[in-house]
Amino acid sequence: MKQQDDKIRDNLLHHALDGANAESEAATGLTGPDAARYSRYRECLTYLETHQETAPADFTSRVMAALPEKPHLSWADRLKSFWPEGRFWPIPGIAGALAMALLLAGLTLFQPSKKNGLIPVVLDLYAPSANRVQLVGTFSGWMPEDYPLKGPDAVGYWVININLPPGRHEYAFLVNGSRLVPDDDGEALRQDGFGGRNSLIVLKDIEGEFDQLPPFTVSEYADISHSLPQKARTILDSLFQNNPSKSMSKHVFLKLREGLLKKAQPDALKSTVHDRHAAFKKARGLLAGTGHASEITSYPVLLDATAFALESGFDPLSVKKVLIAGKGKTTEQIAAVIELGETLNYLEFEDETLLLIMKDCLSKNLDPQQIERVTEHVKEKLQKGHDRKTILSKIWV
Amino acid sequence: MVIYTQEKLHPSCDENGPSGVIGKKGKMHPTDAILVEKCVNGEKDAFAEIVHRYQHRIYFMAVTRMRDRYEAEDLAQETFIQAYRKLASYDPRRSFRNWLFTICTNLGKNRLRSRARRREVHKPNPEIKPAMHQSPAHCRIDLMTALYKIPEKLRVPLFLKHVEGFSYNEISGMMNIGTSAAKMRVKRGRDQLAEHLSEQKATHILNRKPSGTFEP
Repeated sequence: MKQQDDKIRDNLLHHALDGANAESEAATGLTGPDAARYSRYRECLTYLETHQETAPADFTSRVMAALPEKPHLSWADRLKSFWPEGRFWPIPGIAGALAMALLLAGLTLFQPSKKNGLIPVVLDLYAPSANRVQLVGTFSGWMPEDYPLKGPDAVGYWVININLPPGRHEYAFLVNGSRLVPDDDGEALRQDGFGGRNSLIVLKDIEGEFDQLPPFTVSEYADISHSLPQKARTILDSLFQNNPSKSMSKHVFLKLREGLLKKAQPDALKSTVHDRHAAFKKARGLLAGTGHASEITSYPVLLDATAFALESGFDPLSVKKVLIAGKGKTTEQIAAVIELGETLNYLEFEDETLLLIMKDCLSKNLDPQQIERVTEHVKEKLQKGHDRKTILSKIWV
Repeated sequence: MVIYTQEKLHPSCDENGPSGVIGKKGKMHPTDAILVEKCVNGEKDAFAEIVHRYQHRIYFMAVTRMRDRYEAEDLAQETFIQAYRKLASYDPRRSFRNWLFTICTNLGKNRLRSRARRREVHKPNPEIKPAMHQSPAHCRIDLMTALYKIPEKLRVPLFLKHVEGFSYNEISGMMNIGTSAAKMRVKRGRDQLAEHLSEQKATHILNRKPSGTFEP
């Protein structure tokens, strides 16, 4: 109770500080120790507000000297100015070919930081008072021991450098072995089904050398189920036996692991795991029903994308329409469009709007990278406070 | 000693109507929008006016961000150069100040990231002494030292809110975070600033001769 009271008083104080700079304590309606604290804060902020920094005296002239000739040069213009006139025209051609050859040689001889297609990722968390921070996520089966963060550094950040395979990863930080915190600075957040949120990172598989998680077979499952507590095993057993194909996505198993780590209530655990299983089952059905049956095994990314979209509450009918509209397009394109739909659905776009954008992407025959850029564009506009209708009307301008 | 320039008194010079602002001496100050238009039409000198108008504020932002004056100067320069390059893509309906500070925020982020890769991040350069450009009334309290103790994540929103007076909505747009995150970071920033300045004050009082009067 007292804690709550303190929080309210704290909020009042900061609310007063948000206001006009010169507001006096009396005007804020704060009394006693709060008023004293206000004036102390106000004093400190006045230092900041009245502090001045001066750029070096010749700053303007130096900037002006460093400016390019024109504000904006299109690539065509730049190339034109680079290409010499008259009989010297082969020079840039030869130089370009040489550079290309060197680049290719460099690429084949020295594989850069990308090892075996793994993508380096740096994640950090600001937690100055934590004793221990670990990274948990789908890539580690939600097991806490594999990825400890190093820290805290002088300022209070915990950092980890990891190499992750391409694909969709959900993760969170485990602070002091008990509290789970999503990454505020991550790419995106998603509901975890247990009342909390996970951070989401999608790493693109440019070279196409990675398979997504293959489904479990019965024998693999038998090996792994021993490690599960009894109550968790019963949840999976029931799902496994009801499945005529006797295989189950590993994502279902990962959800279970996540729930165990998060100490979810048995009911919540069961329903969330069942939801994910149902989403995958439904996704398989939809893909098979729309002529994409062969891609279920040959390109699991599509199955995963469809299942995650369904799990996040995406209208199955819309998904079906998109899959039908995607006839003749590549599987990568369809998967990218469905990922776009899931993101926009999470950003609370209406189903019809979503469907229009998704179908447009397909009919314009955008490649996966372009589709990703559409997602980024919409996200950016939303963050700038544009409303959804204007974004939609201007999206293809 | 620094003299406040006209733009410090008019933090939103670009929002003062289309024709311009009449300064104290009766001289016309063209709005940012007019200057930008001139630049796009090839009048490079108009950009000098923009740089002149914003140099100290962008530099302050860069110093806040980078902790190191050489790097800060570099960042401030790069901000203006980048702004000039992208001037054609600037939407005149938006606030120019907001646009410029967004560029500075993003460039700063990239720099910190590349520094993080070199594993030097968060370590202030010991050879560079903190600011000496402070007005006499404040020289006993070293604001920048206190500011640098605040993590960069909180420092930048605190700066944008209290020095530049941006709204939480604007900050959230500039930093690509939610409005509530922006609020929370400013709040935590304030708490830490108050804490670090009080620490300084306490040590100053201990170190002072008893006869002096302490005016923080």
